[in-house]
Amino acid sequence: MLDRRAFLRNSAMAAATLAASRLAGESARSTSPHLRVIDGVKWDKAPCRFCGTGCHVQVGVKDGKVVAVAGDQQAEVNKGLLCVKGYHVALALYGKDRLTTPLLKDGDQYKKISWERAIEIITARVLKAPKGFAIYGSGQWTIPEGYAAQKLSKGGIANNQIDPNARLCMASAVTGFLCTYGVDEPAGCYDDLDTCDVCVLWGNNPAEMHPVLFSRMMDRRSRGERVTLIDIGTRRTRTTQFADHYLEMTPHTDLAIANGVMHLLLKRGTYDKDFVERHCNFRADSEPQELLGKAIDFEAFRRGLDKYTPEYVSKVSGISTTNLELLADLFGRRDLKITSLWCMGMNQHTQGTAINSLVHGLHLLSGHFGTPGNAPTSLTGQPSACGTVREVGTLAHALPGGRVVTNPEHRQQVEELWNLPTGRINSTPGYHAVKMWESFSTPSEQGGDIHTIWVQATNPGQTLPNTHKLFYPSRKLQDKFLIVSDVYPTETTRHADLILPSAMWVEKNGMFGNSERRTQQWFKMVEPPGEARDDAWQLLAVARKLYDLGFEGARDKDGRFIFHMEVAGKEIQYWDFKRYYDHNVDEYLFEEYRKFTRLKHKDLAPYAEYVKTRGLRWPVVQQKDGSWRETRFRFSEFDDNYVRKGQGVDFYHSTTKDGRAQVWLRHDQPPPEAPDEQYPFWLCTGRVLEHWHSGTMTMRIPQLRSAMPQAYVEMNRVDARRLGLVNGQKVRVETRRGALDLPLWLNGRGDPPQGSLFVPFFDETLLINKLTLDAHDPFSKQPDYKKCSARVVVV
Amino acid sequence: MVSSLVLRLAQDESGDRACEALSRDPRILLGGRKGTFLPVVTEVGSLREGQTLAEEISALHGVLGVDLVQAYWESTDA
Repeated sequence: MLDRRAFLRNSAMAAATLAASRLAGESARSTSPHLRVIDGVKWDKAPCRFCGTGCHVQVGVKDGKVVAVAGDQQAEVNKGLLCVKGYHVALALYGKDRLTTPLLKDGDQYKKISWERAIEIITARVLKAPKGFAIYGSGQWTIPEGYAAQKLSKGGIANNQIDPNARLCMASAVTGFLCTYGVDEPAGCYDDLDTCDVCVLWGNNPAEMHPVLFSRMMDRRSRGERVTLIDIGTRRTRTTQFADHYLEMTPHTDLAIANGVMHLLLKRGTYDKDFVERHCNFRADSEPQELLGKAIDFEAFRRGLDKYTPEYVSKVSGISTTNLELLADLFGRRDLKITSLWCMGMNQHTQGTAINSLVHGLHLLSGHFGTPGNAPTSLTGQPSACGTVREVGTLAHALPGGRVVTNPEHRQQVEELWNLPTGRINSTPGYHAVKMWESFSTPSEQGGDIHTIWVQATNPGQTLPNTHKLFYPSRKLQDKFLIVSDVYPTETTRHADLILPSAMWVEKNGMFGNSERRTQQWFKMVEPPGEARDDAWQLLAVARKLYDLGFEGARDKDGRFIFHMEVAGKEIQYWDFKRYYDHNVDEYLFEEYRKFTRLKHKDLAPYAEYVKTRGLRWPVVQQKDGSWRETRFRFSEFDDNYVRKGQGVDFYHSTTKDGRAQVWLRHDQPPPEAPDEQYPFWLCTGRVLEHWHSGTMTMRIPQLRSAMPQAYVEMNRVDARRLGLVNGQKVRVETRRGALDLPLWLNGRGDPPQGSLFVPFFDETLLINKLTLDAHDPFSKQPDYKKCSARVVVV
Repeated sequence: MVSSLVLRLAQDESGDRACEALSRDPRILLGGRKGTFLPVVTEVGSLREGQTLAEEISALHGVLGVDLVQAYWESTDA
């Protein structure tokens, strides 16, 4: 008879052996029988709460508490493995200082109030002046939460004042996809990582930011496969340690590099003529600048690239002509499969749209597109930046399913599906994130027309750029009111007027959409602490209160509540929280949202299909036998149901309406701020392996906190020696916007070149975004957190 | 705390030596090697000890990578 400990050890070994077998390429059972043997533990699936990779975990619950997590052996994304954050994800639920009751600011203190009172306060802020009430959301919202917020803002309050934190992390990827293919999100998927011969990392550090995806490639090497990694970056990282080639570039010169490679492909005649002739048009920026630009011909494109000789690019970027030619050699070969990956390095960029479109263009020009292993793929930082923000459309200009508020047909479609009176949806886009917070921080009498912001599932006090300008000023303005729904105290809640405690992750039902178009679902498994409640419920309860108070926007054209739900002809009164889980409100919201997804061929399957799977990649198309089939390789005839027969590759949302993608000519421009005599360093900010975003969750996990307890500044050892600084010494980093004292880390995990600094942003006690720049891309409005000028002084 | 890990071992002698070193650690139970992948189970008294042990394993010469698979704990105290 096995004792309990032996029982646990045996089940743990079964899990490890199964994972090892799969990694070694052996066929292994895909079920997870070992999970069932742990005593009294009930298991269920959920996507990880943290990044945009979309790993699935098995969550073990006993006596109402999560007691175990396991990599989900059935999950195609992570194949049973987890990164250090995913391994500890459940502990994020159990920090000692969870918010458990609504709190209203009362002088310098906060007093506990009831949910009823909190909902009354919010509705009063809406009714005060609906035009000035804004919602600041998140790529961490679940899909139903985002959909509820979207409908409340666009269809109810009808002011379009909703924008997410995802504006800060992936907006340039969106505009890059839109201006290239006419529709958002990657054509390829993670399967490309299993088959590519070459992976080009454009300012990307997946070894720390997307470790499970990085492991997928490293595990191939362990099986004896050859994968060439090319790391194009501005500082050495953990990823660099595994790269075959490290191409260190001067910040903001990635456009010159991409143009230089295209120049060589044309000069050598090694571009893919057949692919280009069949599938591509050429475009350049128009005057005035518009996202879709103007058409140019191939010769104009070629001439436009004339200046990007290897010598010019080398001089501008600092990478050698040999390395530039290496890239051109690889992209010029048809026998290799090439995948490009990027994330914040290209997106947080004042030319983010341009560099995104150039990398797409490089793949199109070289024909490295549309077959397994050949894809330009952006990665997201948040678990549902794609599902909730990009697909549901929780952006100031967007409507669900790829629609926009400026398009009258789109507004009409949405009004019909929401049963709203004609003209309810406002045709003027709301404010993008930077503008929203700028307006909130501007006195009303000076034109700051946003009087209230309701923040959910994000921490703008720590993550907005240039917070001295965008966040703190509003806190001194009497008529500005900040509402924050969150799970822990943060820099944002500390400055809030009203704090609402939220349920998180498996304390509620949810759905996420990851970086590879995969929609995922999970069920509530444990109760949230105290009076914490679902974000979706909070939004729906406010909507219902507005309805009860006679607010016209809360009614559809027949006078019914805009979030009316019924079962067997009887209305569900889910706004009474005691009854919220009598029915699956998530399923209701999702099934309503699903109707919007066909216009742009982002078809989603019924909710029940997601219950059965570890996610499905859209478009998910129903087959003749009634089953639902996902699409791995979009725009490719062999896999995508919507490609016209005989086309091979078909860009069926082409902006030129001819099935072709757009290859862009876009020139490099100077950065908004560069090192000078006063501020001689480049300052770059970012994340670290152990912590996720602002650290609200991961800093509450003792293991992760002890592994990386505080922020630091990385500096090159030559610069440190020149300045007489030693490792661990406290120094002051100053920019034109602020100053911050940080310990110096030399020879640390990352290694910036001379003249560069790096500071992570996870530490709420060392707020680096007081120093960053709010300059942003003209199309995506995404700020550049990756480069501004700074100086270092001895404290 | 009981954890499942998969180690990616070097293909040369250093991988074998890492295996030998691990086999002498009473906190670690080794499974059957699958090519260069080694399943292991660790058992320690607290979450913090678990983290420390994972770091020690990662730092061993011959261990190229540590993938995490499963964790079971009875207390969320550090």
